[in-house]
Amino acid sequence: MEFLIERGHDGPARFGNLKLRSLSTPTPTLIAGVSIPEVKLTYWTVGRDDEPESKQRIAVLPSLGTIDSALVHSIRSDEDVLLPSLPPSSSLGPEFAVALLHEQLSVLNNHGEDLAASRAIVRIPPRLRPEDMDSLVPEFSKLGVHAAAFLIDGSLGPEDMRSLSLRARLPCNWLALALGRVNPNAIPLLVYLGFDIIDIGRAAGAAFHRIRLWPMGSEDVAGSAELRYCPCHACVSWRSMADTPDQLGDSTLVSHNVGVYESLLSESVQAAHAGRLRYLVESMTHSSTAHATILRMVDKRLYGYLEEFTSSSGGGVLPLVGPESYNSPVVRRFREYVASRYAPPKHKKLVVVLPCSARKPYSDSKSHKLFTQAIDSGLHRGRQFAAEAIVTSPLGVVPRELERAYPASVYDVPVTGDWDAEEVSIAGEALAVHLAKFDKSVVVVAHVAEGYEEAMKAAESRIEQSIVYTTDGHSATSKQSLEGLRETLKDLSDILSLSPGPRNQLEEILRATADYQFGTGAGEALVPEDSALRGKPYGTILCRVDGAQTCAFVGATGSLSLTLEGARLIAPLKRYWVRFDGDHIEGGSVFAVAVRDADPGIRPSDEVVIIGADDDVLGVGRSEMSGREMCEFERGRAVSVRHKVE
Amino acid sequence: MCSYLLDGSREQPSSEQLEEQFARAMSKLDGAEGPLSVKLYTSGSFLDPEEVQLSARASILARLRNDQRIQQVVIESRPEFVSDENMIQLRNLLGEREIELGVGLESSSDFIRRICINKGFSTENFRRALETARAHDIGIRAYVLVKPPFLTERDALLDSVKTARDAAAMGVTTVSFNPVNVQKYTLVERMWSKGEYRPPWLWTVLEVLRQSRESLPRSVDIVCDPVAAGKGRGTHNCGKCDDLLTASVRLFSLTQEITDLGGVDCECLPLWRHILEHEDSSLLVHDDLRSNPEQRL
Repeated sequence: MEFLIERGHDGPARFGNLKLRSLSTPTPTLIAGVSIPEVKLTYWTVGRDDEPESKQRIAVLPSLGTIDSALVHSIRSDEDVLLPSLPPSSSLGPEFAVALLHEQLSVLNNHGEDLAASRAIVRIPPRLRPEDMDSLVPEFSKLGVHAAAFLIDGSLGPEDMRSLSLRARLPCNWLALALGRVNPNAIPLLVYLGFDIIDIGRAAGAAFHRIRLWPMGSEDVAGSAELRYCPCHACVSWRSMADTPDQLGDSTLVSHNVGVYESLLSESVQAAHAGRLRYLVESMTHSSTAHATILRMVDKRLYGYLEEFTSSSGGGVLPLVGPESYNSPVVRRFREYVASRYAPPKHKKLVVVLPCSARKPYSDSKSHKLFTQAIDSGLHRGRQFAAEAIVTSPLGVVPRELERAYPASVYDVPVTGDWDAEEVSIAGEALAVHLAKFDKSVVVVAHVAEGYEEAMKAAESRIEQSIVYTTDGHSATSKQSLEGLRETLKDLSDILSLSPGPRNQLEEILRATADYQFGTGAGEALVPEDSALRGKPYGTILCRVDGAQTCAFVGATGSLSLTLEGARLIAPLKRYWVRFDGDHIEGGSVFAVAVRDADPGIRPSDEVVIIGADDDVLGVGRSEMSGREMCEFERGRAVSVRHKVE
Repeated sequence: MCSYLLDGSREQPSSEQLEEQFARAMSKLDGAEGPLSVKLYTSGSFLDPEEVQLSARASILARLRNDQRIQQVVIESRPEFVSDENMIQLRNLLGEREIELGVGLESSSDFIRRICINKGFSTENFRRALETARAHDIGIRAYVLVKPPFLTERDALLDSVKTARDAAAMGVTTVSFNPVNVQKYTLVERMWSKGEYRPPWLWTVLEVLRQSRESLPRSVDIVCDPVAAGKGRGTHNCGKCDDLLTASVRLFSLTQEITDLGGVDCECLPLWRHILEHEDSSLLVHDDLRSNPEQRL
């Protein structure tokens, strides 16, 4: 088996190419038994099922205890093989799961002549403890195994959660199979979690129970007088022949069911290419409460796994519709980065807390233009002392300087003004953490109403600064409120005796973005005191130090791109580095095979610094995969190089 | 599988109590005409002196000897009690009568008997017991367990057929198939309630009987009297064909005619075929509950 992972990520979802008996199959893909000829990729149990005609097939060794040399020898030498195990039981402890893996190791060791480990797929029982998985998988790797199958029982309950958690621990370059009872609504989730091959034997199992499957549910054909309309080929030809449910034959049902799986797989793949797979997965949570539950569990327990493969940039609008979005990886990562990386400029004496706007970026919206006018006129030439913090759900707090950063510039939420308890708590927490970074003498001007105000109140007990509310029960954009804001700022300007001075907006944006992107300290390193800055706020900003350009802020993406000079300034921070195996980069890409080591903090689409053996900067570029993948993959493009040392 | 530990009496019954129990059971034969066959199903080992005291054993066997109507006696025992000494005693006390010893072979695979059933003897132990009994012209009735836990439906089917063949090759006189039924307070019950075990399909039992009958010599009887057949806890199909198929299994046990098996073409047959195939490759247990979510609502 040859399995290659190709470019592109949407969370842990990846695209690959599986070579089976010289035939290429793009992954993710579906698999089923010999009795479902509609599915090209077939598994068959050696010595029990008829040998399939299809070349795209995987042989299955039946249960442990029935394996003998003749059986193993009978498998074609170019065919991949699912190793034998036993149906799992939650009644048998984790020791039993370990024993099942040891049995598979001994099958490989005892039948090595007939069964090369590179053809083997190890079965991971759901009850395996994570630490046992971590210690046993390397033993399989050592032999040359690089594929694993996990059991999905279809209830999306705790047992399935175990399998998903174990899948998250697999080495990046292993092929992952989901076998068992997979209902159509789980397809986007399994693709999202990085399964490459998904078993749809359920298409037949359901058909023989007289069940027609649908993307969001199922229909009992036997028990219904009137069937749902279906435009699929199988159902159309059934309708042209007959019109009663009992004439809907098993084979029609199987074809229909397979079609539903195919269509969801294709929807998932397309969504992943467009960076909208997470949105599709979230949409599917409404198919069942179990589905909603397991996504929440996944977000909570597998956040690290999801986040590691989630791109740090994205195109188009990012819809965050409901509670299932509150902890999606891009959202939680933004909150965590702002909390841990953003440092406010030290000279700030005021923080104006503002509500978000439906239109992004905020400063392009009508409401924020009104806010800006009121702040400008209230503070006038003391403007440079005011920081702005925008409260929003579910991102928490967006410092004005980061309003163009991903995903702050592209997220979209349903706006009613009413917030639920979780939103209030998320934003309250973010506000408390954010304001704690300012000096205690700073005055917080809270220009917020409705849910925003609730979030402010939720944080109040943890805020050490004095807070002035300016809306007095009116909407934040009302005339009274805006006047209140202006007056309050005017008064504060006098009380705090804010002296007139230049506003270093460009520097603030650059530094905040550098910190957000590369971590604390990057802003000061990249944009030192004596930098020459040119450009427009939120447009393109160029930064020069001693006449040499170090970086450019691109308003459209809200991110910085580095020059070689800039890379040299960032390098000592020892973050976002990729160690190249050589002293000179040829061409426009660095491939994974040439990566000696990389910062595990690198995410797809990050700006990275390519260094040589002696930490010397060789180039800068954009990562195409996560740092761990750069190290584990033998193939594939790791970095698209922008500048390199010639 | 079995709950015999729980079914049994809390205290060890005395020899007298056992003799009395036997006498009471035998009294039901009062007035019956010979020839009779008496089967002592102890669900344990009749020849284990700790289970059935030697005095009770001697008294029961003597009673059987004195009843001229009785032509055949079947008792049950684990292989370790099938000794020359015990065989001599049986032969001496029962005279020329046909004697059959029921032994729970369960499976001819040591792996399955050890891992799935946890029964502490080997196929070799069974074979030796069989030879010992045969030397005294005592036959062996092999009990075969259809679908112990931790097997797929097809593993179970194939193992039962292979066990019947192996047992016949060793020289058993009868093969008795026992499809697993889910007893209270057992591991199997726990697995069953979580959807991790399903008792064998009746189709599986039928197929086991058919394939065994086709390959075993006519001299070996093949019998099956499934417990709780057609019920959720016993061997069952979809509910529509269960009664007819169970009746056909019982009829077959009397006639030994393959043509008496089945006779129903039920719509659950393709589902069973799919399960045979899919369980092997996926190792998913196709339980009744989760396979059909519509029924749950």
